[in-house]
Amino acid sequence: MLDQLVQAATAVLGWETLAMILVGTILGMVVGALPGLTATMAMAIFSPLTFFMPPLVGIPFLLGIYKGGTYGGSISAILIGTPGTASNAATVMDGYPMAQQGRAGKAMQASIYASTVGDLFSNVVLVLAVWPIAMIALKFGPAEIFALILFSMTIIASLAGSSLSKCLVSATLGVMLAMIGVDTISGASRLTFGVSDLQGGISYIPFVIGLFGLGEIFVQVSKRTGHLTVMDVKGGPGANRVTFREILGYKRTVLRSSLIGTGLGALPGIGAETSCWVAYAMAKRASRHPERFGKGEIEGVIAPEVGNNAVCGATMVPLLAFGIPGDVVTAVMLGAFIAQGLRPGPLLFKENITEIYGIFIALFLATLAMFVVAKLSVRLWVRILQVPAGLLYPVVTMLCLAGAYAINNSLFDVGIAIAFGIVGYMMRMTGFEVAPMVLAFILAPMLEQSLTQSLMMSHGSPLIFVTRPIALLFLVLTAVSVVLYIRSGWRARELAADKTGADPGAGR
Amino acid sequence: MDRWLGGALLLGAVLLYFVVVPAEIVIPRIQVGGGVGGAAASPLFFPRLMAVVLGFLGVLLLLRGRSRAETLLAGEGFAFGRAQAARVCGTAAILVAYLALLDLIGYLLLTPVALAGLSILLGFRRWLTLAIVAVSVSATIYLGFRLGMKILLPEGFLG
Repeated sequence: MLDQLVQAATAVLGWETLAMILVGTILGMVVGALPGLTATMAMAIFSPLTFFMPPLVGIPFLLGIYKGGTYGGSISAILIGTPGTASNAATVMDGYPMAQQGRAGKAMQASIYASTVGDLFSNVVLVLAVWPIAMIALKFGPAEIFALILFSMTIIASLAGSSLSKCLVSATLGVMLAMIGVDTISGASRLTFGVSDLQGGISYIPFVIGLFGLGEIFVQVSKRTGHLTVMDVKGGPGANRVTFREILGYKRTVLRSSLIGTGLGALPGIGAETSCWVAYAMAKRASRHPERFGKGEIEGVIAPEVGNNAVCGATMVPLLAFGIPGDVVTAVMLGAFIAQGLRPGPLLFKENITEIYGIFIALFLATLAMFVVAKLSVRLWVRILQVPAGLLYPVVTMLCLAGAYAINNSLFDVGIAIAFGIVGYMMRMTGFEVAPMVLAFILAPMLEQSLTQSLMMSHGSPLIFVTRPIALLFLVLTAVSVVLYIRSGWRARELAADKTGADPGAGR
Repeated sequence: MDRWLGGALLLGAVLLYFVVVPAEIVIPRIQVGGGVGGAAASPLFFPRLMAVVLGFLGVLLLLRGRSRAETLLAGEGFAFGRAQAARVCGTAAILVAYLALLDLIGYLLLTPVALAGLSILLGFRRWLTLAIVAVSVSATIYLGFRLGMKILLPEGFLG
């Protein structure tokens, strides 16, 4: 065990890994800070690069992008009043008013410390929790895995906006797309329409690059944003100074937001987009001066920034312990793991302990890199955010296309990326979420395989799912999750109806 | 809008169930026992099930779907005018042309042209900056792939 730890530390502390963590963090921050570009998009575009690196260089690089991207969104939230990513939407509430009051530097420093604390908390929880969970997961057979994935799929409903049916359409199409290619168990060729390139199925990375990368580019092209109005970071270093001690003065908020972020992050389907708002709302509710929120209250920056970065380590728990991605970021990461020959799940903790230790160390190094780069770059962002959209988006488009090609040296994959870019754009335009499609695409083959294996074990009897206690538990949780979701939908509808009834003039 | 989509989904689901799935999945179900379990283990099971679900969701959208205005009011989707349509179609056309010509013309020659085309479409008009960025970005990506990852991007007639 100690040997493996030393081996992992030697690998991760080598210059190659450290350099790639740093590059990943900077890339993540830049992409996260630029509105319209997200950490998911950056991970999709750059994950092909990792296929040519050793696992303990490639995975830490992606971790750097993830953490940097999650923090980076706060930069534009503070400086231009537009969150770089949805995870930083709540930071706008008080970060931008602070910048308007000439306290942009202070808001950014608060965001740096808050993100670092949230991130560290989440890393510690991951390291402590994932091993015991993985040991339990080792006892899972196909029936348990089927029930668990089924439960995870019900969480997709939480990604729905105001239309559950559209969310389910998106997920169903994701499952259909996952069926394309040769069925691994029966050997049947499915829905390939005679196209030999489709025998192996739709390549995952070009599919994700299309939906998240090119799809978002199409959206930005249609909006055509020019130069952004960026608030300046005024004053000398003293004016912008925030210390760790000052942040810890808000220790209740920090602890509460850390728990919220980590708790929500560990649940499949719920990520930083939700946790930042929950942390913000809870901080406001608990504050002695809730009236200051929304007007440039520093606690209104700290809470969401702790909350969103505290998700980063926690989302890795279901991925590493069960091999099931809890959100789209870890879904992209799963693709990178598999390409590296690593299959996330309990067996990883038996067969690839060195890699697991390496990932743990890399998580902390990525947090450190995020802190250092963020501290050193506070004033640079004013310039970076002024890059014209007319140059930025074409460059990102070309990176997307090159990344799609790199997977298999295949123009067909470039075509896949372009096709799904158009599909992704049309989905966004008509109010369909793309995230359920991606999650369903990655979960469906696992679901199908575990179902078939379970039925083979039971000679075709579906009773296997109710006679095994853990499988039954997850099936019950699935049913409860569905019932709760339907009930909350009804309540929301009743409330809306009451509101309309009480205020007949509202619609006029 | 939703109703049109619902109708299209329903039609697609019917075609999928009765035409596409039987024609495109030819191997019969694997034998793992009879009844429900045997059917569920068949490679036909999931595609058929999804066709049924898709049809059901299509009916839901058809019956209860919102108008385009209601969708936008709910904060989903976005408005779409002629100018946007022209820019999106222009971008798509450049990308499709890029895909069609990449093998023939090669990455190094075609990428700066496509990149410049996209920039112009987005309204960027500083020509010298554009030329420098288009050439340097294309060359950097090409060399990065070739030297860093040992991947040769299409060379076209230069190769």
